[in-house]
Amino acid sequence: MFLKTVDLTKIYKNDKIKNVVLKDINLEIKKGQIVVILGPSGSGKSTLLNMLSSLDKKSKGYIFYDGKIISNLDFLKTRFRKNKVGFVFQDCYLLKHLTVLENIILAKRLSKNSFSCDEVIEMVNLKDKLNLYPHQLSGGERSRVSIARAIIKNPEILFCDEPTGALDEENGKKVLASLVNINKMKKTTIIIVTHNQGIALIGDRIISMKDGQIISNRKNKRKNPLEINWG
Amino acid sequence: MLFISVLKSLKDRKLIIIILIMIISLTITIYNTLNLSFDSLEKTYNDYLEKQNVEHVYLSVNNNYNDLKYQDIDFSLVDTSLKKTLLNFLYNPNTLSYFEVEDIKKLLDKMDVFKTKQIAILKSLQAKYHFTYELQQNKIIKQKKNNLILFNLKENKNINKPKLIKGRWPKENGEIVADKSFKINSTYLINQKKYKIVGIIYSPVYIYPMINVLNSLEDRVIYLTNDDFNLITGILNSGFAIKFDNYKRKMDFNEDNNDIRIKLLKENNIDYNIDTITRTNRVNYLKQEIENNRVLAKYFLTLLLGISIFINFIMIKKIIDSEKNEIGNEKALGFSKIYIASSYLVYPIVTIILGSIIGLIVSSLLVVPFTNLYGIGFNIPITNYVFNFNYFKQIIKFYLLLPLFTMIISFYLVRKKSLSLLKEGSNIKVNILTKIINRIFYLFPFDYKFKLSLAFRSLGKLIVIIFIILGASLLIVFSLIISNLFNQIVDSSFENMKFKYLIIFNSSLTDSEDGDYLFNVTGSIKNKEEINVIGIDNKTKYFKVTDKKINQNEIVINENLKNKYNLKLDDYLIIKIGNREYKYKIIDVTKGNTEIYGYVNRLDLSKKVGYKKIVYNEMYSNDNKYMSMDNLPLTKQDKISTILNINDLKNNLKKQMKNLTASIYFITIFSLLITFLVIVVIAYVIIDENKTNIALLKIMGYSDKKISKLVLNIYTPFIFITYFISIPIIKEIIKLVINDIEKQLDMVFLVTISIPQIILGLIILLGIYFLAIRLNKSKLEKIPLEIILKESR
Ligand SMILES: Nc1ncnc2c1ncn2[C@@H]1O[C@H](COP(=O)(O)OP(=O)(O)O)[C@@H](O)[C@H]1O
Ligand SMILES: [Mg+2]
Repeated sequence: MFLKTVDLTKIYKNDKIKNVVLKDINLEIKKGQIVVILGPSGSGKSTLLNMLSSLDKKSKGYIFYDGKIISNLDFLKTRFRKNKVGFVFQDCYLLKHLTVLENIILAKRLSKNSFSCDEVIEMVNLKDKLNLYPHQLSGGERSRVSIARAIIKNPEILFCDEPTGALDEENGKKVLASLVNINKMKKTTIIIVTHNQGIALIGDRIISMKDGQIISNRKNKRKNPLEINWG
Repeated sequence: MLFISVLKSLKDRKLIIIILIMIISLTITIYNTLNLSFDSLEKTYNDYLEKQNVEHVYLSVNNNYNDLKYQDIDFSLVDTSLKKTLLNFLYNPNTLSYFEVEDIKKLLDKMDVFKTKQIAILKSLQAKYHFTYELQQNKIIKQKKNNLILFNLKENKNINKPKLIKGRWPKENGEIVADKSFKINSTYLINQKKYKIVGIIYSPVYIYPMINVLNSLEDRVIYLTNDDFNLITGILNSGFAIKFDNYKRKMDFNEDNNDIRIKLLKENNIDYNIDTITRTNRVNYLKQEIENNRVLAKYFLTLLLGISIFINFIMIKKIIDSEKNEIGNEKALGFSKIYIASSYLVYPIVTIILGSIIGLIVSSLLVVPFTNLYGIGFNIPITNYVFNFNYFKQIIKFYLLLPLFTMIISFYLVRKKSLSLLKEGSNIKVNILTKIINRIFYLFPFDYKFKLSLAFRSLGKLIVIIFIILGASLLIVFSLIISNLFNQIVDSSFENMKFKYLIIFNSSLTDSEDGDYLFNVTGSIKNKEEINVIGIDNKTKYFKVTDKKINQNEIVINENLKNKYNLKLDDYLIIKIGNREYKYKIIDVTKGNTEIYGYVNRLDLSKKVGYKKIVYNEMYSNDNKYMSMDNLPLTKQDKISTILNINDLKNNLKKQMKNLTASIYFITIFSLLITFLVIVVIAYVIIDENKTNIALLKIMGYSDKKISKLVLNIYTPFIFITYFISIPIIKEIIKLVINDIEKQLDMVFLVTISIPQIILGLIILLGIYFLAIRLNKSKLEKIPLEIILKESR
């Protein structure tokens, strides 16, 4: 198994009120798959993703990556993120003072076996926009820059939190197509979080969540992103 | 509504708001505390003078006793310096050993004869000037390292009443009361006779100081019963303490004084002296000290206040700038401009109110210890602690500028279109500077370009950071320079002096040995300012005044004199010596920051004063025989009034400046405290501005070290640059202020900062900065990365 959790639990304590956001999550993710985590807003999807990607600390349980426990030590986590992981967020989080190209180079410098800029820019179709700054881009273009930035390191696993959340159907589909494209070409494992049931169909596996628990975990036959029903 | 939301936002900016409040309260505290301590001291002083009925002047009458022959003196030219010499001769405890008891008795008899004449004189003066008087004698005995000043309790009943602070008054002979350097209920030997100390007193004519500045002997004051006083042998100093009914009469008296003196001298061959050295100075010194401290405090605290308000303003501007998004939203929601702008008044108002309350409370607590501390060097019971709002009112007026500034900035922002505000809040515009920089550094390595564009993309934010750094640098340099001022005075005053001993003689002499000779005479400028006119020779070994030869009617003045009257080379200076005026041409200026003096040709001066030969009354020497009076033959000892060791002189000058330096140190400490807070703010702002960038780079997998290099260290060069820029700025500002202070304090200050100090300042600045960055960063690390990103949305 590539990524595995055992009894993963997250509890927030606010003003002495315990809020169990994730409860005993057990799941397994295979290498090279596209896995979609589906659920209504507030069901704990982002929390789960942040836990899996080591951005946030867990309260209880274990996470195994390639058979090894992900350490709690800060520098090991940093190394893990540097070498293995890419992120795509709904809000893109590009560095405002850097151009598109510079934002991508910033990530490229972290990895020795990274892809070339040209290759990645080709994949996300951003050729004309290289010297623009983030605020000069449309929402879809920004998302694609953040994808380019996430994959240029050639990560083993890509975490995407609502990558299409702020996009319209046409742009959303383009972004998803880019992701599927990357998975096909580089065998990158991709985990996508969404509340959009239509999108879920592009995955090899769909995990449904509600109130911090997994309510179903099923195999799926991938659909072409351009052919799905946009929810 | 909006006000509440702004109030709530205070909670998110806890650190910066708390620091704003602390800066305001620290500034108010030091301003209030120092000034109120001076008030307390002044009130104590005035009450004390009133209660103990302290004299206005002390009139003592002296015969013209001199070891020069009567024929040697041209009496039409008799001057103050000669008078001084006579006085020295009479008061000097060292001469005691030379006189036989018989001589002393003769001398005292002579004084007694004068006493009857004196009373007649006083009675005639009293009719015109309306005063009460009391005969007050004291006897001086040199015992070990002390000058014992003995007073007669019977004679100090009405004027200059001693104040009992412990124990009781003597009931019988053999009992004494003494100053606080003595132990109550112990016995003390005077001239081999035992006395019992039954009470501790303060003597109102010995408010300052216990150490005699001139000879480093410690003055200790003792009051004896009438019988004991009359029996004891010592140098008698006899005179009348005079208290005017109306203080204004004293002025008239002073003006007439010279005429009266000359008349008496001619008619009765009596010279009288309104004694200023041994009594009035000891009384007035405290008042002078308070005045001097007030002058210093006024200027430096105003400077500190200015810097503090500047920093507060920049910080508030920073807060409001980061609210651009909110302002845009509120405008879009339809709130009126005035309403939005005025909601930001919450920041200055809340910080000023809380800062004021804390400042007032803390200063009310500090007034007592500060007043006591200032009073330590003086013999006065501290009875009054003043607390009022006068100084707070003075300072708060300036702080009201803050809300005004706040209104202006927020109006400026509110004026903009809401859309552009929203955009500016979330995206920084590409300014021309960035484009140019991008172009220039096109071929540079990525790291450089990254740092440069990060720094310059948000020029506004960079400027705010630079301004805050400037504030901190100004404060540090300010602290360093002012803490220097007084050391500089002492050092520069002694710079050209290579001698070990200054020997002051009790009369004008003509014979010579190895050494540099001076003839020191007191003259006056414009009839009011005293000037020491010092006759010197053209070849001197141990001190150097000028490279030029000083001829007849030429003078080399000191810097202080030059500044005071705005004099230039080749100007003429008219000096009154004796009762004639002489016109001197200024040929050079020499260093010298205390007092007012000038060097002239010694032979010429001797003649002008009335001597037919060249004379001297001071000598510089390196001969170690002057280390102690005991090394000298008796015939020599009797001519010497005092031997000053150069190190003693330095220490005495330092001692004199002690209270002034205390004020300076307090101001320095408070400004360093504020600096510390400001640097913490800088670190906070820098981390805060770059929170998202740091989180993003971390998420991407950049290590802490690399992130520090890429993001946090970009501001370090600005700290260096700003620090070095702030040195000349604050130096010029202080120079401007010092000019005024010099005029009021009669001193010349050198505004300097040494290279080690500059480095020290930089180390302090960088040290606190990196520490604060580290603390802020580790606080940031405790927050999950995802949250930081969420917050930045
Ligand atoms: N920092 C936090 N403190 C307390 N509760 C939180 C925090 N972050 C998220 N939550 C709660 O956890 C639950 C799940 O949030 P999230 O994982 O963001 O949901 P989803 O991504 O599925 O919309 C929500 O009820 C939310 O209120
Ligand atoms: Mg979410």
